[in-house]
Amino acid sequence: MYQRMIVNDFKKSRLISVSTLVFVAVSTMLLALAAMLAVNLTGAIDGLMRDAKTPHFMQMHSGDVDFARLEAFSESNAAVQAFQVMEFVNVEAIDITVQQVPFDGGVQDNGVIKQARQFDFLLDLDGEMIEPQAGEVYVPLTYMKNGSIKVGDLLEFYGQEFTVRGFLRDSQMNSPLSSSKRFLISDSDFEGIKSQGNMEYLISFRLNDLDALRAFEAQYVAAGLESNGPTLTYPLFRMINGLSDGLMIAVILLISFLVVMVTFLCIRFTLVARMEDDYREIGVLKAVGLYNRDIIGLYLAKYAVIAFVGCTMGYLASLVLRQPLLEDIKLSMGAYHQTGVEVALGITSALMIFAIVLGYVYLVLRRIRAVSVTEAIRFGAVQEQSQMYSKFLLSKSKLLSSNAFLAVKDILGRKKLYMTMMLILLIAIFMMTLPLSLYSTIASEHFVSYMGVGKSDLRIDIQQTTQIPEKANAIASAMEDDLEIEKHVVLTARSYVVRSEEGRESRLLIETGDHSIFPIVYSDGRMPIEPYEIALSAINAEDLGKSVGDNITIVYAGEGLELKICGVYSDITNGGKTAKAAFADADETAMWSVISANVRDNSELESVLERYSNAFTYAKVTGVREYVHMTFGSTIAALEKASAVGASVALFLTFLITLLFVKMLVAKDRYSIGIMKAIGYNNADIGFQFVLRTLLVSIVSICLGIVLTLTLGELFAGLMIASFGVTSLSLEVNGLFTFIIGPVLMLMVVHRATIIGTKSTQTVKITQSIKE
Amino acid sequence: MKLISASRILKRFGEAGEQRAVLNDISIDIHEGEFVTVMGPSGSGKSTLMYALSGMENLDGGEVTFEGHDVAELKDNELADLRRRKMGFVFQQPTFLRNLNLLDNIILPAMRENKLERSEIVKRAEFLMDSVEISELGMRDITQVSGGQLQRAGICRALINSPRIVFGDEPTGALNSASSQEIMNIFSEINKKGTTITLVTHDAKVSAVAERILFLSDGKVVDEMRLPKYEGRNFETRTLQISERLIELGI
Repeated sequence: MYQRMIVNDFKKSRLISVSTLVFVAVSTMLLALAAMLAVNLTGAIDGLMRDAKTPHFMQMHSGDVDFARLEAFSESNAAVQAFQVMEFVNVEAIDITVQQVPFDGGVQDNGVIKQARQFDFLLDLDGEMIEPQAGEVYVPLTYMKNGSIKVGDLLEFYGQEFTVRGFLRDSQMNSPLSSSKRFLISDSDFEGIKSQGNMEYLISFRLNDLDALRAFEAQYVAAGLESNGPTLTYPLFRMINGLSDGLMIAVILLISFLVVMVTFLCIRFTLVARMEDDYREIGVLKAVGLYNRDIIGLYLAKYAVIAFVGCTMGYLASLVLRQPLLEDIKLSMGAYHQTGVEVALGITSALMIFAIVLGYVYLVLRRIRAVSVTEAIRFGAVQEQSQMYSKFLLSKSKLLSSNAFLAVKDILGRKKLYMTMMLILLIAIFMMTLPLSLYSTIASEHFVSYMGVGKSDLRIDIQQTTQIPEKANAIASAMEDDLEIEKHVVLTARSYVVRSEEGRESRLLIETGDHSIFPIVYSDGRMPIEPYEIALSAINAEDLGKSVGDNITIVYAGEGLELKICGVYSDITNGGKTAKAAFADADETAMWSVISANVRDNSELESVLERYSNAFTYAKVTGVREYVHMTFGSTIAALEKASAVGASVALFLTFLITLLFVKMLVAKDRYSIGIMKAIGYNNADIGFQFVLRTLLVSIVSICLGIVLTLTLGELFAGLMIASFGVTSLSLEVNGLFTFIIGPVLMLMVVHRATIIGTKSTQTVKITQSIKE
Repeated sequence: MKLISASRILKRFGEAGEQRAVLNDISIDIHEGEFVTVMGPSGSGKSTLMYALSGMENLDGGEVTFEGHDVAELKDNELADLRRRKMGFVFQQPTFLRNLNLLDNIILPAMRENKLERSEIVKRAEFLMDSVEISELGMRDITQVSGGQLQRAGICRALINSPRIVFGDEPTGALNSASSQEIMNIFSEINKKGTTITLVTHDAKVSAVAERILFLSDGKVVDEMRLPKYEGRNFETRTLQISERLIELGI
């Protein structure tokens, strides 16, 4: 009996059944995709870091290295499993050519290296350790992705020619968020080239137990070992590797959550309407002695079939769709081979949706218990409270035409019904604008100010060289006299020892200078102004267990200097472990200087960049826009993809829901349509009323959706971007899309769906409908 | 002067192969100012005939003209205009929009017509409501008035745009005899003022106020009866004459 009823029901309400099926399928697909991508991402990162044997602790260092002392430290430290010092030769972009054309390496610190022998291996795209032959070079994957270098290209470092043999996966520096990029050449070529560039040492350790990392870090600092450069750790490498794709997964997860909500609203909407239609039948079934659970079972059986088919379809679709979305993960980190886990997770997602849908349907169906047999058989319909809105009268309405009046009156009279549609459209607009706003926020030039970099037009980095302060001052003097430069500031970073109350020592990179010229956003507190003030990056604040108002003691000129913490900020530069202070330090041992500047006329930016680039060859001159592009490029691209998916899903949902809603409304309103036709309203009038109803509801949804994006969206975005270490975020809304293109697109879709949905009003026969 | 002319009209219902002719080759004319009723047993096709004459029902054959224009040739908009401007309808069951009060339902066709100021339309509605004695009920919800009062409101709505003809499909079918008589008196008064009336009924008392009665059986006009214009006299005699004719015809 169930089978026959289900088949008949499908035939009777094809659109509703198909729509519900599609929603269940899309929910399952998105959730399964998010789950599979997440397991792939973590699996691939683990795989890459395992195969490459990523260091657990790495100290970058410019300057002399006391190998014997390092060796002794390593041997005496029980936590150390393996130790190595790699030479990394920095090559300025100006000293690199690709196919005889100067290389546009942008903001990255490029350098050459030879293959490691113990750990920290550079791998090819098959995950194998690379052994380059003389004259061959393997290029970081980033340059394959952005298309700047191809296999077979001729590369020159300091005039020495190399042929690009392939691309490499670098478990430390794969991500564009990591500012250094390693080119791999043969050992013999490396010996030839290493005297030409600035040498930097990568002092790396593998530990027996990763849990001992923090203690090891403290021991390293306490031993006073080489530390003229950033310190990077295994968890940081892991985070940076997963960030871009992780954000995409988070957005898909958000969208899937929203689609599940839409599915529920859709089920509720169609199921309640169906029960109203079947009101008399439900009464009759009760009258002949069927239990509530039997009647509920009849409806539940149909939804069980829909949920089963939808979940299966959604799961299968996710298997197909995951391939293109996995491309980037596979390319950057290699394939994840544990397909069993992946399949199991996908199936679990599908089963979860199946159970949730059936549970929800059961909850909605519980209202069958409240159906009164006598009322159902007598009236055949739910006795709704008539909502007349007696003060809103056609006879008194001066502004609205009769068609507009009828549309508005209908909405006011059936608020509950329209509320469902409004909620669904609200979710759709949220789904459309939030990922896009997130995308705009990260793509915006201002975003860097959340990440520990002040927003300026250009920045000049001086590092891995000698006499850094002098060189920075030379540039600053040139800027002083440069009429095209509006303002500039020099910030110089030095490494200081921090002494805790217990006497434990650790190292802290402090950027000193005037932080008010190009301020950054502080998640807590404010910038350092007085010489006794210091602001810490969020990671440092956490590591040191300090917050705003606390004091820390650094060793300055051989003596303890107490500084008051005035602010905490998010940072992605230098492993997120920085600090900013305003005290003056003329010490020669600067690790780097950054000169940030604004130009007076933005159209002159390119020429200014070129001028400074040519005049100060030892410095790296970058436009901040380019810096953002290079650093966040892949994250932005992933988010752009997710935004496009979000917008498409939202528009598709809007179309389907509006069509479904309008078709149901037409079926419900056949009687009124018949009356209107009988008294001389034509099809265009009736169509107009429907269009106005849906458009008015959409406009309210759009307004609320935008408000929601600006409020709740900021919260969501904040949670997602928290993975960058950003703790406070103001969402940068893409005004053109959020306020104009998005709403217009949505209204166009609603309009089209309404027009299609109301086509059947033309065939409503007066004689039949008024008898109903 | 002929207002409506139906020539050899044919209407079938049912699935292909099992079709039944509900209107079978009917030709009739309705003249300006006439009061015509159509009588016949259930299923004889009388309501279908009325809907066919008003252009609400598509035909399978034949032709209906209104003021000389073929109704089948009219587009959707033109048909709607015709119904709104020149025709009024009163149905057996009160057919009103449930979310509007009585007054708003009455003025709805005039508001769409948009020829008069809103205040003028409301004035006209109030005049009509006063003439059928429901002037106090305009602000009431349609569920708050009786069937007879609703039918009167239906007549007001049918007359709001001063149509040339009013069609009624068993307009007293759902009313008690006292209310029926009152409604028929209203129709008679309207007709006296020049509006053509065409009603479908199975009640001889309703037809007693008409001047021409068409008898339908099995989709055909089997007889026609003419009476002098009703002047409010001889109601029982007219009713008896019609009843006898019905018996003669076996309807």
